[in-house]
Amino acid sequence: MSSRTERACMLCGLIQPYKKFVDAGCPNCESVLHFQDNDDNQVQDCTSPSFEGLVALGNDNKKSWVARWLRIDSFVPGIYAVKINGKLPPHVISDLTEQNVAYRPRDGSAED
Amino acid sequence: MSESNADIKVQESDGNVESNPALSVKEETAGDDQRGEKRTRESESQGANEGNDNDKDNDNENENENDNEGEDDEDDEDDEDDEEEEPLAKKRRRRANQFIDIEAEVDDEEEDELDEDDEEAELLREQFISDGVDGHEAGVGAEATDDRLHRQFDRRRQEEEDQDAEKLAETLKQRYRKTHTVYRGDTNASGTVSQKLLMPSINDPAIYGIRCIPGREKDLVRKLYEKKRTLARSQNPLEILTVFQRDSFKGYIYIEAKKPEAIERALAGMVNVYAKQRILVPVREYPDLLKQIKSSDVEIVPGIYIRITRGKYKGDLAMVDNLSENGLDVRCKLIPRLDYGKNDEFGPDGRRIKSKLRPLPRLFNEQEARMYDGEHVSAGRGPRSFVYRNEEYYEGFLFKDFKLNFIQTKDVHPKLEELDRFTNGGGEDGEGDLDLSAIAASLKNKKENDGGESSAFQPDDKVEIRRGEQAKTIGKVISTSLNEVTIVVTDSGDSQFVNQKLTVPVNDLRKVFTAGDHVRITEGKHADETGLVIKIDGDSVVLLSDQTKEDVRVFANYLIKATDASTTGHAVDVTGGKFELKDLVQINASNVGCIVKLEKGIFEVLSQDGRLISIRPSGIVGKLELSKREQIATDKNGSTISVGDTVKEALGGGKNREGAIIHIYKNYLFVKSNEIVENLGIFVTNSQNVSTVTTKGSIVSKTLGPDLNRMNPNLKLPPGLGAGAAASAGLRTRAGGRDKLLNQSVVVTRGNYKGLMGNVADADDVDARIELHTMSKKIKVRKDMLSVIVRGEPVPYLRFIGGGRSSGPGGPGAGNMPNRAGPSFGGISGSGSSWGGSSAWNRGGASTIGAGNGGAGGSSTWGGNNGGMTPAAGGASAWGGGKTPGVGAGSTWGKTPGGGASTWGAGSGAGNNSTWGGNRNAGGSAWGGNNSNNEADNGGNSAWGNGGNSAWGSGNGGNSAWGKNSGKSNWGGNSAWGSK
Repeated sequence: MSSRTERACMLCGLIQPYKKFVDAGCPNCESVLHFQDNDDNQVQDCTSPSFEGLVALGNDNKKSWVARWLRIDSFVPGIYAVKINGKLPPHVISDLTEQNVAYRPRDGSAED
Repeated sequence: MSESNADIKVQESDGNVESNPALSVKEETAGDDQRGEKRTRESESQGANEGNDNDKDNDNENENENDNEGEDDEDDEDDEDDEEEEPLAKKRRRRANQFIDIEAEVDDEEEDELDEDDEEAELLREQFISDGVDGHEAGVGAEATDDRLHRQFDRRRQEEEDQDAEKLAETLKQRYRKTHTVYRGDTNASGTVSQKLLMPSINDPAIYGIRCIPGREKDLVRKLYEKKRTLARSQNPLEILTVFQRDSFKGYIYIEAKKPEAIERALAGMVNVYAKQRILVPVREYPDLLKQIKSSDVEIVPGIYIRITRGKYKGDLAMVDNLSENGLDVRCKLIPRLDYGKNDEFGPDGRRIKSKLRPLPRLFNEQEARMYDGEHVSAGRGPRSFVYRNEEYYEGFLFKDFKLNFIQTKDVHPKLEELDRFTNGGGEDGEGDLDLSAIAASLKNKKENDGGESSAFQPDDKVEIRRGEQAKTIGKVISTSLNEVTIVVTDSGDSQFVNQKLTVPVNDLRKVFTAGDHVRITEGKHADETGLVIKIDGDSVVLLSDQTKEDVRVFANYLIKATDASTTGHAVDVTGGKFELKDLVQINASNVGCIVKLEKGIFEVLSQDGRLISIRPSGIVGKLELSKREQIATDKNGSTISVGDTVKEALGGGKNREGAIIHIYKNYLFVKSNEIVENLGIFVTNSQNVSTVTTKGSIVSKTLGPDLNRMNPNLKLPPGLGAGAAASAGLRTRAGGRDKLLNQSVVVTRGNYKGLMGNVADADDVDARIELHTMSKKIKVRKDMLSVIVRGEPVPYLRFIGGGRSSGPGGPGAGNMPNRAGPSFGGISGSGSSWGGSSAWNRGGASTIGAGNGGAGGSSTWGGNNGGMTPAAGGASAWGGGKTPGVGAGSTWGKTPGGGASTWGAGSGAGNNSTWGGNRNAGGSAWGGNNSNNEADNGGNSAWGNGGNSAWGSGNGGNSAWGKNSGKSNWGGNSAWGSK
C-alpha cells in the first residue's frame, strides 16, 4: 500500500496509485478528463497527492448518506477521499463547464 | 462458398480496417494489388500496439467496435476480439503461402472459424488471382470477369461510402467516447443539489464510530473495503454501506450501516479494531464528521508565514511567495542555509563528502558563492537574482517550491528574530515593514487553542486602519467579534467619516500608542512584562521594560495599556503556577520570606528579618507549606497564637501595628495589616512582641496542637504581684497529670446518648470518649454532658472536677480548692480550660453572667469556691448550695434573692455597687479567700473594691477598671480584659 504514490482525482475523489491514473485513467472521470488521451501532465494536474479522509465505497452506494453527502454516490466502488487539497487548473474547469460537468472543488473551498 | 457472401465479408473487413483511419486511407490509394501487404502492415502496427499495453488496446478495440458496429449484434464482438489477437500469426501464414494458397484454402475451408476464414480465403483468392497476372483471367471465364468488374465497382462505391463513414466514425467516436464511460457525477444538466438539501435525516443509515488502534485507521478502511468487495458477490454480502476515517478523529473508524449486526459481521476477524467499543454518531453530527475544512485550517495566501517540515529547511520559517495553480506547490521565500561547500570534505577517492553540519541561515552571498563554488553560480533573471545549484535566489533569499504536504501552516509562531531576519535582510535593508496580518494568521490557532481572547483588541483601544480605502483612519474600538472589530472613527482624512462606525477586519487594524504610554505585553517571549513606550516605529513599538530595564521591541498589537507594573492578575502565568502572592517561600537555608510582589521574572520577598529582597523565581528554593499544626507560637503573654489570629504589636516607638497573622515561621510572624500600604500591608514581627487581640475561630486553637498556655512558665509566675496570685491560682489547673475523667464510670446526661453508661477511655479538653457498657462502641461526648458516678451516685462533671473533692485522695483540703476552681471556670465558659475562660468573660462581659447562661456553670464554680472556702458566709450559703451535689449551682445563683443576683442582672445602678459591696464582704471574703491564700496582698481586694465596683456599675468602665487592675498586677489575662 504505497500511499506515497497514491493520488486522488480532484473531480471525483477516487484514490488510485499514480500509475493507474496514467495507465487506465479514472474510472469515473475518464470521459471528461481524458487522462489517457493526454500526456501525463493531465494526471499531474487533475489529481492530487495530498488528501485526507478515506472513504470505502461499495456497490450499494445509492443507499449511503455518506456517499450522497460527498457526492460520490453515482461513482464506481473504490476508496475515495473526503478532502483533497488542490484545485483543477482553470482550463480544465472551463473544459468541464463546456461539457456541462459541475465541478465542485473538494478542498473545502466549495460553498453551498 | 457463394460470392455474394464473400462480398459482404470483404466489406465488413474493410470496415474494420477503417477503424484505423490512417491505414484505410493508405489502402485506398494502394489499391487491390498491394492489399496483402497492407494487411501485413496493419497487422504489424497492431502487433506493435499490442506490445504497448493490453488495456489500452482493449479500449481501442472497444471503440472500434462501436464505430463500426453500432448497429450490429453484440454477439459479433467476441469474434472481433478473437480476430484481433490472431492476425499476426495468420497474416504471416498468408504471406508465406501466397502461391500455395489453393491447397491451404481447402484447409481453411475445413476449419471451424468459418466466417473469418471464408473471408480470408476469398481475399486470398482474389489476391492470388490478381497476382497471377492478367493472362490467367481468360482461364477464369467471362462470367467471372463480369462478376469481378461488378465487384470492383461495388468496392469503389463502397470505398466512397466508407470515406463518409470515416467522417461519420470520427463524429461517432467523439460522441460515443462520452457516453461510453459516461461521467456520472453532477452535471449542470442534472442540476446541482445544494448540500443543504442533502442534510442527513433520521431515515438515513446510522453511522457508528468504532475505536481502533490509532494510526491503523487507513489500513482498516482499506481492509474493510477489500472485504466488502470480496464478499459482494457471495451469498451474504456485507451490509455495511461505507467505511471512512478522518485524520482529525484519531483512533476511530466510522462505518455506515443500516443495522448494527452488519458492523459486527464486518469487523469479525479484523485486528487492531475494538468492535465492542462503538458509539452511535448523532444524526446532526454527520456533516461535521465529513466536513472538508477543519476550522483550524489556515488558508494559504501569499504573504503568510509557514514552517517547512522536511528536508534541509525543516523547522525554518518561510514566507509564502506564491501558490502553484493547483494549489499543491507553494513557492516559499526563506533564508538559505548555505555553506557553498566550504565545509565539505574530500574522500580518499577525491569525491566530495557533503558536510553533515547544517549551515546557519544566512542570506545568499554572491561573492562567497563565486569564491567557493563558482561553477554552480549563474546570474538569474534580474539584477539581484542568481541561480545557484539550480535554486533561485533573489535579494539573498531563496525562492523554492515546496509541496503542500511539507509545510506547516498551523502553530507557526514566528519569532521576532526570525521576522527581523526576513524584513531586515540581515541588517542590509534596515527599515522593514512587518506584515502584521500575516503574523496574525499564524497566530490564529494559538488563540483558538487558548480559547482566550478572540482578538487582542479591547473596547476603548485606539487603533489605526492599516490598509484599504480607509487606511490611516484612526478610531476607537467599540466592540470586537471573532474577526472583526467595530470602531468609531475619531480622526480621518475625510471629515465626513468622523464619528461614524466602521467594521474592520482584525488584520487591518493596528493599535496606536504614544510615547510615554505604560503598556503590558500580551504575547510572545516578553509576555506580561510591562513598560513605558519610548518609540513608535510603524507596526512595532519600542518600550522600556519595567522589569528588565531593557528596550524591547514588540508589535503594537501585542500591547495593551496597563496602569500597574505588577501583574497580579497574571501571577499564575508569571510564575508558572508555582507561586502566588503572600506565599511563604524559602529563600535559602536560613531565610524565609513572604512574596509581596510578583512580576515577570522577578519577585519581591519580605524576608524574616524584615528586609525586602528582589529575587528571581529560580532563586527561590521552594514554597513552604506548613500545616496549621506547625504554625503555632505564643504571644508575649504566652497565649497561643496561630494563623488567622489578630495580633497587635506592642512595642515602643509609638506605632502599634495590628493585623491578622498569615504565616508563622518559628517565632517570626508575617502579619497582614489593613492599615499599612507598603508590601501589601505585610510586616514581620517577633511573636514575643505581640499580644493577641482576637483568636480566629476558637476551635482551631483548641483542638489542634498542645495547649501551650498550660506549659507556659510565664503563666505560672510565682505570685509576686497582687492578683497575679489569684490568676495563677485560677490558671494552674491540671498542669500535668491525667484527666480526672479517665477510667471513670460515667453516665451521659444529655444528648443522643442520654442515659447510657460507660467508662471514659480517653478525654481531651472538651470531649470524652466513652466506652459504652451497652454496646461495644466508643462514643464521643462533650464532657459537660456527663455525670460521673461516684459511689453509685452520678455527679455532674463540672461538679466532679470542681467539687468532687471528697472523692479525691487529698480530701477537701482548702488549699487545693482554688485550684479546682480554675478548671471549673474553664468548663463554664466553655472555652479554654484555664484562663481561656477569661476570654469568655471578655466576650460575654458582665452580661453573660447576667444572662445566666455562662453564669449557670459559672456560679456553681464560684459557689464551689466560696462554699468550699468559707462556709460561714451568707452568700456562701446560697453558693454553698451549689456545693450540694444535686443542686444546680446556677440555679442557686438565679434563685438567690439577694441583691447580688439582681445587681448582676441589672448590671447598673448604685445599688449594684452596694450589692456588690454587700457581696463584697462575702465575695470579698470569697475572693479574699483566694487572696487569703496569699495573705500579703489585700490590695487585690481593694482594687476589686474600687475599680471593680465602678467598672461593673457602668458596665463598660468596669472593664477598664479591670484593665487598670491588670495594669497594676501581673494578670496576664486581664490585659485582654482591659482591651475588651
